[in-house]
Amino acid sequence: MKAWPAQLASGAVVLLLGAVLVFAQPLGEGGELARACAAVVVWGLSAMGLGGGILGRARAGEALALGIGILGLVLLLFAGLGLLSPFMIAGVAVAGAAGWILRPELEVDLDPRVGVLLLPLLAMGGIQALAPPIDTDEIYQHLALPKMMLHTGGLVGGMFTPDGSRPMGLHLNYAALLSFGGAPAVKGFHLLLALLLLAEVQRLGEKLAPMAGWAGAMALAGSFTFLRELGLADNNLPTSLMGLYALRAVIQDRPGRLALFSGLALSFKYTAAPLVFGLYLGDLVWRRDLKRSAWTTAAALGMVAPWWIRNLLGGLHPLFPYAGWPAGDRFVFAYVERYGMGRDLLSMLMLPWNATLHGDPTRYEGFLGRISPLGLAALPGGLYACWRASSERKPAWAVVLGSAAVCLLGWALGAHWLRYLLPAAPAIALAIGLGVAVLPRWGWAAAGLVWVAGLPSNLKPHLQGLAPLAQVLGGERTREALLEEKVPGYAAIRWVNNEAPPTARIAMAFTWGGYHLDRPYVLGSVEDHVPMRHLLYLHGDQTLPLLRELGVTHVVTGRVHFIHKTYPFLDDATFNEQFTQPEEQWEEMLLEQGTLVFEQGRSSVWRL
Amino acid sequence: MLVVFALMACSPPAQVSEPALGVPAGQELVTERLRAGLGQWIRLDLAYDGPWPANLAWEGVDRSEGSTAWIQVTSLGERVVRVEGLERVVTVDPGANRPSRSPLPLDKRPLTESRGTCFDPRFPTLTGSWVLGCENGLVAQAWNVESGAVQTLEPAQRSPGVGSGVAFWPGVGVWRLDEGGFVASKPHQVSPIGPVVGDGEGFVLTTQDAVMWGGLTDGQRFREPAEPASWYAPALADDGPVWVDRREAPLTGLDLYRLVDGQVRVLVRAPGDQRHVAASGPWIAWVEDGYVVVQDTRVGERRRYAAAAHTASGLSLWGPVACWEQWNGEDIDAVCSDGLVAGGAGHQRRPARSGPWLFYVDEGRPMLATARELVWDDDDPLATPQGPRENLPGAYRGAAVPAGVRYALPELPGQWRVDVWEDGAWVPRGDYTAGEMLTAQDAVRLVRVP
Repeated sequence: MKAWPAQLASGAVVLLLGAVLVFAQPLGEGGELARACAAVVVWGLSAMGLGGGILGRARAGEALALGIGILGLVLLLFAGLGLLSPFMIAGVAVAGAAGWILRPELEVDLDPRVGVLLLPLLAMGGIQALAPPIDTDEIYQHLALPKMMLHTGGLVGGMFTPDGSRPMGLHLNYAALLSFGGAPAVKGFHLLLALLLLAEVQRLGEKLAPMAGWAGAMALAGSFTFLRELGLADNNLPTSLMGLYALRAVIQDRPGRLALFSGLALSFKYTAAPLVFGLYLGDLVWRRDLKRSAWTTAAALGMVAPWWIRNLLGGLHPLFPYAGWPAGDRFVFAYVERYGMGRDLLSMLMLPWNATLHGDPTRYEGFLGRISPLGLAALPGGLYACWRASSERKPAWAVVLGSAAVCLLGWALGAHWLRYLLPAAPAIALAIGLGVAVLPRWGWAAAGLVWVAGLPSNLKPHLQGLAPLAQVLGGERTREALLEEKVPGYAAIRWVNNEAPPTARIAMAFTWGGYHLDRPYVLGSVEDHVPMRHLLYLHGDQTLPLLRELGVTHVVTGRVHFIHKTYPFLDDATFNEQFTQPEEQWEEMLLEQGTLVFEQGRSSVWRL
Repeated sequence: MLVVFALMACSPPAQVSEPALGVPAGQELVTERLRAGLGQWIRLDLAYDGPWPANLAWEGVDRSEGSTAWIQVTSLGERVVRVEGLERVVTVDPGANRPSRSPLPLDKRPLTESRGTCFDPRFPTLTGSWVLGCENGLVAQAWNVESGAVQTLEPAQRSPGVGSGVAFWPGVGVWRLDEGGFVASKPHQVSPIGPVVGDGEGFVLTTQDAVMWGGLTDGQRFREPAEPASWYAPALADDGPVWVDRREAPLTGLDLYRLVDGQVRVLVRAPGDQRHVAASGPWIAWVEDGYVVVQDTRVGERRRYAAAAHTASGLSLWGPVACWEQWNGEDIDAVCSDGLVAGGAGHQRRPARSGPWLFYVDEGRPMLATARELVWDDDDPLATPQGPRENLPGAYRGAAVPAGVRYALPELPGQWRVDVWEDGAWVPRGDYTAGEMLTAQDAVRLVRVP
């Protein structure tokens, strides 16, 4: 038997087995884990087959990443036509898997020793992947939007579901996984991509310089901000993986792949822009080929363009919801001043120190995260690496260090939220790696000590967060009890699921947690509860009649009670106009025109 | 008895004839009032659990199904209303009181003792003469509004059951506030889906698929399969538990059911959401769209008070006196059916009534209003007219009962003076003795003696 038919047959058996597990569910309720794993395997093989079929010869991870991006664009076509359904998605999965017929040459060139790093992360991420979704970003966006798209059979978006107007390529993949294997499949798939990212950072780094890969990977694995994403459904690390392959394409002089992966990175998350800009700048400086830069840029933007066209066809600004709000001149989408320890010159100069030493996952002034001190410790070495990159003509080093510098500068100009560094993680991690690699042996040992010293403060908050999840998985706590404690407004959402008529249409005001709602809904929160505040800002006391006209029958609302001291940069009048007044006006409207049908703590349900 | 049967047999034809299509056996026919003035319209409601449609002559779920009708009484004397073997006797008087009544004077004071925020928005609240307040979000302390005494509730609870001067949690124990003690009860695991409610001796709670009730300390538990609506509190009336049920929500919205003699009976099964049920002795009250309704289960009389109580998170009942949140066109006031009103700028919310005290939350601040006087007229649920009501000049609200009215007034804390309304003015009659049966031709007033 020849090798390829045997491999194809094996793949077909795996796909078939996965399909049986996903659709027939022979293991019943106890088979959730098997079903989720099967969904991850089926979708992963499909994406890898598709990506491999396109690339021909590539790393397996590259094929997987490209496949995810292309599947997102294919699903966009179907979702745009309102044809998104589990059976249609299954058809797309089979079509993607047909890429294996083209016999791609995929290499898995990973260092097996990296498993030492990955295994504990797999365990921690596994807990988060299997636990009920409680992370704010998951329940309002990364799981909520795929669920909503599956519910409606098409794309969502517009003024009343602004989150859905972002590029949704990755989220369409999540919709597919959700339909096959539920939330654990999405989270498990994301965990797989995150671990792949780490392994690829290690591998690429080691090719740049001995110890650079290990140091870079350890800088990531030792940072709370990275760890907390493992096992969540999110888009930072998939974006980061795309960025890594774009960086690799620059180093390997593969402009086509640079265009593909940088375009996909942007279409997964716009905050990849500094990394993409840095890579294109590095490529231009290295190759000095303006024509090549022009066509790769055009091709990359072409990967994002379908989403812009989609918004334009819907009468929205192409970049909505980041731009194009009707009251955008008076209404701020997000206050970047809210994050970090200041934006004056001294604060900016102190940013590396402050972000490392004063990082606190619970406080806006604490950059809402924590990172390993290895990054700070590698700063002098990084500067030395820059000098060596220039003096010894090491263009690959220059691209890594230069793009990392651009990313850090871009981050400093935006919101000082450590999580926003994640899309640029490969460049920054590899720059840290180079900063360590250039040190003498004793310097490596010192860097290792610094990394170890940073572990407790980075692991502690993460393990504290995992503890209640593990209790649920261990049966010591019920799923409902966890959700009620961790998801604000969950009691109101559960009330709607249990008590509201099946035909009810819900408006979610000042409330996250749409994923847990089993009814179609509009609005929902993003950033500082922007959709609801903007709606009130535009329509004032006509907001409730407007919602009624849209067919909304019930409102799930929370009481935020915005605190002025968390917006110290706003004067009293602006704060009142932007935050206090809209919330008060909303409460008054509900009291006057609605009927209270549920209330618990700060959340309530009103019948219109 | 023979005389009564003879009178019934000789009574004039009922205003509502026997239904042609036939109403399957319902449980109870209730009238809006048992004594009416000549020419008044009376609403009739059938507590009916048979299949739809019931009868074309009845209004309800849609044009052909329902359980509600109106009659206009056009002749004096006793009128018998019959539906399929169910009947009510309505006495038609020549006169009737004007519907309006004056607000009662009251004293207000902030409850500075209650500072802590509670996890459960139903707290702080008033039960008997005690205000239950919170520490660290849990209900942990009780203050007596009369004596100022303070009790610590240990162990503190997030949402204890409340009723008639006790706080409790099934399976944990009972804090008898007047007696100042905690009595532990047998451990019992329950997962209520709404607030737990009691009447001092027993409790009732709702679970996903049942109503449970029993004694507070004797360990007795009873369970009846049901489909209670979550969040809404059940109630414990003299007859037994009452609850908000969603078994027919797609057709009739939320309905009310109760247990009488071990049998599940319909209290209200009609369009709209009948919700926020409360009970006090024989009286059961609830909120429905546009009205607060109080039913006397002993006589089948269902009084309706026009109300915009859509903001309410609950209903408080003291005897037949209901208190609710009333949207007054601009803001919310705490309003009681006997004329006690806590109004003013801003929202006065979450009323809880006990005797002369009305607890409410004024723009987030717990407040206590104390009535300086309480007034009962001859058409009050606690009044029993001894003869026909007549429109008379100088009568309180326009009508009086020359043959006399007997008032069975509740026990009240403190010293009270009795006034009676005679010829357009209040006339002192003497001190009030708890349990004393008062007799007058018109309204009576109790005035608090400082």
